[in-house]
Amino acid sequence: MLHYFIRRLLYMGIVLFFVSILSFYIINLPPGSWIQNYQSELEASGDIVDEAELEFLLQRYGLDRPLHEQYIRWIVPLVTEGDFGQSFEWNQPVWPLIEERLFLTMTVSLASIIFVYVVSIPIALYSAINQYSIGDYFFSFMGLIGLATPNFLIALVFMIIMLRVFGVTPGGLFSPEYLRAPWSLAKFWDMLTHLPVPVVVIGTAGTAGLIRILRAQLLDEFQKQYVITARAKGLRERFLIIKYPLRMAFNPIVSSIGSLLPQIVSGSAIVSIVLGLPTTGPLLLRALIAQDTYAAASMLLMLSVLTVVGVFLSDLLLMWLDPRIRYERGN
Amino acid sequence: MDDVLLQVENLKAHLPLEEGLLKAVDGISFTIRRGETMGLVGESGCGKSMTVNTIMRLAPSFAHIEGSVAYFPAAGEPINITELDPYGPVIRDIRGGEIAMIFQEPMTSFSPLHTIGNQITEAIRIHRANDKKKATAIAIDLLSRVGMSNPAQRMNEYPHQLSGGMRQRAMIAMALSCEPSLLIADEPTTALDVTVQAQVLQLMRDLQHEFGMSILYITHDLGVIARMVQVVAVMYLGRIVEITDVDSLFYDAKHPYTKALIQSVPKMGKKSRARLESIPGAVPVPINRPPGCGFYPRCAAAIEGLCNRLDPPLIQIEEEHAVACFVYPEVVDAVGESKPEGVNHAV
Repeated sequence: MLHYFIRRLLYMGIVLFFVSILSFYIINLPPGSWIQNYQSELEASGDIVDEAELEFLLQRYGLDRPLHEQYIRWIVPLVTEGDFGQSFEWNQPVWPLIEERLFLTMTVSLASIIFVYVVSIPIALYSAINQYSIGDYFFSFMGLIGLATPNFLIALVFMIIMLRVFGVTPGGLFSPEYLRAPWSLAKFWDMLTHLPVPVVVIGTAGTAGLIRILRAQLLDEFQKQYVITARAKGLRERFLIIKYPLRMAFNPIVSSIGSLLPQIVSGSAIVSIVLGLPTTGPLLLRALIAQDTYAAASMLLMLSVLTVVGVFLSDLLLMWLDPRIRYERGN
Repeated sequence: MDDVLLQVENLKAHLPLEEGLLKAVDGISFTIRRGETMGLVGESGCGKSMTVNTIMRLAPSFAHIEGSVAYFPAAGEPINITELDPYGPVIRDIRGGEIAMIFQEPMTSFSPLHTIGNQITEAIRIHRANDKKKATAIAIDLLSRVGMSNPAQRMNEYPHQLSGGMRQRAMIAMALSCEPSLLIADEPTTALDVTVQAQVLQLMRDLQHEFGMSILYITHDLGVIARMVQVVAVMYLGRIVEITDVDSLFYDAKHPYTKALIQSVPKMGKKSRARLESIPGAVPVPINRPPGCGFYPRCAAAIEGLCNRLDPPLIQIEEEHAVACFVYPEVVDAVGESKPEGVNHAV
């Protein structure tokens, strides 16, 4: 078992190493660089371009060096000192820039995942037990609508409803008075009250998808011999379904947690822009457009770390749930 | 009739499918006495499993069930199982507690996510002792009685850690855990290899002596029938075509189908060059089935104009020996017909 953990940690390190190289490379693929962007921006706005300043920035950030040297200049301090480097665009260190946004991204994502599970598991159970009932058709219909509608559209619809019906301007995760305030219990509570709309919007598609998967999975499990065995023992139907088929149906769900995470993080970028959420999505988009290499690469790397850790945790959970997997991995 | 345990009367299980009405079980009657072992034999698809699933009320909910299954508990009034709510408390008490079942596939009969011990004690705690320690003690005792080494350790093992034979032993232990009056064994040894099969059969016989329960043994294997049972019902296409004791089945079979079935089994001492007999044709699917005897299209003794027109009823023609075939005049009389002239009697 210990072997397994060590091997997994090693793999995680290797994966992250390649992710960092690849993301760094891809960010630098588009022609031009941040310096050139900066220059043309200045020219466009009619400012005088100070060649010396550009040269200074070029030197300072090492943008005149070959790509692998730039990579080393970024990754070595990151690994050794935890220094994410400097953002060109914002002209400040990357970490303080993304710290809070990463935390908020995680909060919104976790809340969305919890929302997805809390809503879809009971509905899928109901739909599977009452297959082809009116309720089943209703949920299937709603689910398909949820699947087919782009998230940002749902976000817009929600905003209109909030504005027209409740007279609230939705958007953001905080009320204006807490925007710049330091963290406090009141600010945290304020965030919680702002969470439902983005969580529902981000979670809708995932919920709809999971209902379909779980319903099919449960219907499959209902036919299995062990369910009939359990019934032949005289177990109560409700108890039986929760103990056996639902438990079995959990496997694919648990193993999908890891892959749900990046989906939610990247899928929520557009929603975040529409709803004005201070998550990493909008920031990452801006950094990528501006070719702010260090900021973009750092954010991608951190999101990858979270995903890899998420996959690892879901694997551990799977091992805890399924003795067959435990057995296999143990050897 | 005091010793009757289960009386099945004109039981039908019809499944309305898209292709038509599937008469999986079509009016069968038989009686199981206390302590008796009965065999239900027939080819795949003849409705054996559907029969026992209907008795246990485990048949799919869209099946139309008719007829009656009277269960006579040791004390109290007989219960008509077909009238019970399939999810209700009465049938739940019967399942596992009064009538237990062993299934064909020991690989899939246990949940792979729960320990053997968990799954056995679960049944005990429902029906016998809702006390975890007591239930565990009963389960360990049973596991050792079905011949499992280290029973206490087995309790904490998962199905994938046991071999097929061991799993089937655990299954038997689970079925016996609540000391049922009737054990239904649906092809319990079909998925096992021959040596393990012999061990499991021996085990079941020993345990029957010990517990004194009745067994309804479902199989397509006549060798198992010969070893295990006292009374045999031969099923074909959803109907029972012959019921008799095991000796007359092998030495004095009446129904052409039963005879053909026995001839298709290899015998010791027979010339090894001799070809095994096979029954021509295949079991038709009983969907939208035409009137007449189900075996008519494959039968060498079929009587044109009678067998393909009327259903032969199951009629007792000798003591404890009933057959549903128009070759026997008693059966023809029972439907109020006279036998057509010039028909060959001998089959």
